[in-house]
Amino acid sequence: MLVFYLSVIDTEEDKTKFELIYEQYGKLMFYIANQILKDKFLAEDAVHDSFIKIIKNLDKIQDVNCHKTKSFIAIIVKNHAINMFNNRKRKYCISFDEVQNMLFKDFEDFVLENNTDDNVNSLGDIGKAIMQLPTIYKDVMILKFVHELANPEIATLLNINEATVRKRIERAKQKIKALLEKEN
Amino acid sequence: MPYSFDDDKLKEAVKKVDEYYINSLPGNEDIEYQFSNKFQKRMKKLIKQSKKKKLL
Repeated sequence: MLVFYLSVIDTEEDKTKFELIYEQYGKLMFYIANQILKDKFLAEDAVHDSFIKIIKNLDKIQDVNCHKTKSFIAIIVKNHAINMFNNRKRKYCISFDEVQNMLFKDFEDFVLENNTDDNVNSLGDIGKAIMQLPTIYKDVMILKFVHELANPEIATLLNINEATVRKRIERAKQKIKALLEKEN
Repeated sequence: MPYSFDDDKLKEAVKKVDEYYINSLPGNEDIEYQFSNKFQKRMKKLIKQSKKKKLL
């Protein structure tokens, strides 16, 4: 009988925001981490650690089901997995280019499959240039311009210092400009 | 040829790229994976913690 009552109490409404995020994005987070780490147990560790970060940043998530939340969560787990990968890289000497290739393989496949003029042109010249940036620049730009986080917040989220955030934004702008001038 | 853009244009472009990337990811329901028991236990602990945090 008690089990029955407990199951009734545990409705969608009673679930915490955190549980909903786990149910909705847990496997996606694993997918992203596993793409980078290529190890199921390490990927689970990355997902777990990312959830600890999400608990600390729950106030930044308004609607669990929206695109913005998916983007925010994807950046958290991706960057945590990259940090884990880099720590292992120091041990096993894996190049940063390999990380980049692994990270964007699916995205590049998606772009190739959907490479219609409409799709690519909808991104515009600046968008196409941004797509060519390394993920460390792209993610800082997304946190700054899509999630509208301040530099100290981005720094805390990505475990980097504020000066690095500023430098990455500045360098990203320079790289975009250089790419656009090259295209023209 | 020098090319200039302001932060508004950049913001608009970053939003489009982010949407493009997020749309390229599979849905949670499309990913077939069973988390290990160890992971599920750790997550249960975190869920409990998150509920306590909510009550405080």
